[in-house]
Amino acid sequence: MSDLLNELGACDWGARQAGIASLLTEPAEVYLPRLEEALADHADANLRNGAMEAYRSAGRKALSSLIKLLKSPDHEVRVFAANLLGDIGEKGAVSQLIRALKDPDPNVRVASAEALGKIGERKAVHALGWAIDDAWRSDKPWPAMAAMDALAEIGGQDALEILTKCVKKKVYLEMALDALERIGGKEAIKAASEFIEDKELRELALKAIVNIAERLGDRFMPEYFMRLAPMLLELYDSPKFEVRKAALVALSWAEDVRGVFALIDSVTHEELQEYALKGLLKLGKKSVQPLIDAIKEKERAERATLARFLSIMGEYEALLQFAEDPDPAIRLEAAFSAGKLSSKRAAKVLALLSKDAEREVRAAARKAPSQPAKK
Amino acid sequence: MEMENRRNGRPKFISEEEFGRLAGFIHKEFGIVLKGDRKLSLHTRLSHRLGLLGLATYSDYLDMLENPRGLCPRSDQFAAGETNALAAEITNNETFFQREKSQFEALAFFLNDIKRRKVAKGEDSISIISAGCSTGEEIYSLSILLWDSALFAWNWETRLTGIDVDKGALKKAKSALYSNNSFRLLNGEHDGFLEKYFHQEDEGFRLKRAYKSPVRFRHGNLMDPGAFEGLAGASAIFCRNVFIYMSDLAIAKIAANFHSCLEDEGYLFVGSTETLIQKTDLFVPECREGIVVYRKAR
Repeated sequence: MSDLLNELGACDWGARQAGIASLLTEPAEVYLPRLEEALADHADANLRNGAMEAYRSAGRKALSSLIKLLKSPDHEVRVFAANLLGDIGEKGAVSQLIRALKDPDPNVRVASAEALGKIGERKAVHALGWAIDDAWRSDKPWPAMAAMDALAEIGGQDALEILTKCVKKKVYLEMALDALERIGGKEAIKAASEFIEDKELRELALKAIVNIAERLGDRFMPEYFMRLAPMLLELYDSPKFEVRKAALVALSWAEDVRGVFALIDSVTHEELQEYALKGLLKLGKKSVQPLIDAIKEKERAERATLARFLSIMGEYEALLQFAEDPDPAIRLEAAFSAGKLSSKRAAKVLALLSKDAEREVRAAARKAPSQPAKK
Repeated sequence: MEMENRRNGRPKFISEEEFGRLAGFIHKEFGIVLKGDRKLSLHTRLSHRLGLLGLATYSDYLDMLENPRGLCPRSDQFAAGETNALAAEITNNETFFQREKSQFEALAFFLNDIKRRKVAKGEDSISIISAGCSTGEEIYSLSILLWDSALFAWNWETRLTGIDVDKGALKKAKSALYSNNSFRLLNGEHDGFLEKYFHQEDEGFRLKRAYKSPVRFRHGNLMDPGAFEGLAGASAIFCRNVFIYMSDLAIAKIAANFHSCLEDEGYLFVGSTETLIQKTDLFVPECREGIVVYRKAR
């Protein structure tokens, strides 16, 4: 047995794993007391780490031992025990972990809150709310941060209500907004909305609202973001990509023409393209002239994508003016568009493009129907 | 409806099922992962392909792509060629000269060591690869760097190779003709840079012959070991802003190809926002000259 503990503290990963596997073949009442000793051994960090790995591998068999260690006089051991109970994720430890939220050592309180979050048992919610209030009274914010994080993990209406109250305390606000974002739901959106026009908090609030709405598969009424369009355009210039993305997504829902240039610019961005195109589609006719102007900017990237998009929008007439564009992908769109129109101008474009230098453009022009359907 | 779609040169909008199939095909062929709903983006990028082929639905298009030896029923085009066309539409060609300059500066610093090692081994050639070279700005930036270092000027064979899956981008790369857009990060040094390395022409700026001549381009898929044939012993590989679009599985495959291609002491540069940590054990990161560079694991 003592050899096994030696292997448990081995620096070599393979030897340590072999030691753990061998130890766990013994009866629990034999190896658990040894693991308890190893966990309390301040002198040998490797042995402690090995003991923690063994506890995790033992799983629910280790439950009673770890619950006992939650009352150890050594505060470090209590922290390890709480951490391990969270890792094992057994609901049988919830009552003891709730009691540990009142531990005199703040690190134990933090570890217990984190463990409750990992276990995800709803009956811990009110105790976590109490832990937040307690931390507020004792002016020690870390246990409150851990408790808010745990509430976000557990979720549900009660957790949401507690977090909504936390948002009102300045010191907790950022963490609470982040937790609300993770918990999601319309109520969370409502709580975050209170801060959307706060200069300091609007980035966090917007990110939370957009991410929640996206997960809900729900979209705000355009008016909600329309009134915020100037602010959204300002946030679109943020150096933080996550903020820029949230602003662009909000602009794509806003149906506000003030956002059209941001939407067109974002077509070049791989991750934003889908939102940008959807936003432009929602703007409908209002986006047509800005799109044409953008395609005329010869230095602009993704001009062909913009031309294809105009075609998808059915703006065939507008595309005829690009029949002599230097980019063959754009001339191709002009050829497709001409094929859909029955005007003399369209016929001229088809005649021109049927002699184009690019094979695909010629093919599109020549295959266009001889009796085009009226638009 | 089918006739109407074909006559209009536009297919029906892509369905959820077709999007799933197409995303699967793109991942299998190119390792690229399409995250989230990308239906409108894909439709915008691909619908003209279907228009050209006379196909009414994305299901027809997929049937064609999945049968690469077959002939498209409504055009004279082979499906194998269409896979290349698809690659061109879904890959991002966003690049410019001296992008992430700190990495070029780091390589400039390593060149002395590379030369010393090669001289000690009696070698007289140096090879550098730009994997996913797109329109060539990166490999030409490397060519400029190598030339300016003057370390490999006399009696050295310099081989710079750009590899990309997009034939259209390679065609542009071979022309070495660029617009202002390709120089947008040369803050304040724009004019001097253009004057030194480019000739101005009516259509844009053409790279001078000295920097163009050591560069070769090849068409290839980075997941395919065949794309790297004959390139073993490279001193550096630049593969930046490629992995961000790929699955871990594809990254591991590409890393294995890089591993076989790079000399033991070689350097792999990836984009500053990318990492190979926990994606492959073939390379280890090293912090050198203020950047992270990857070396072959020993």
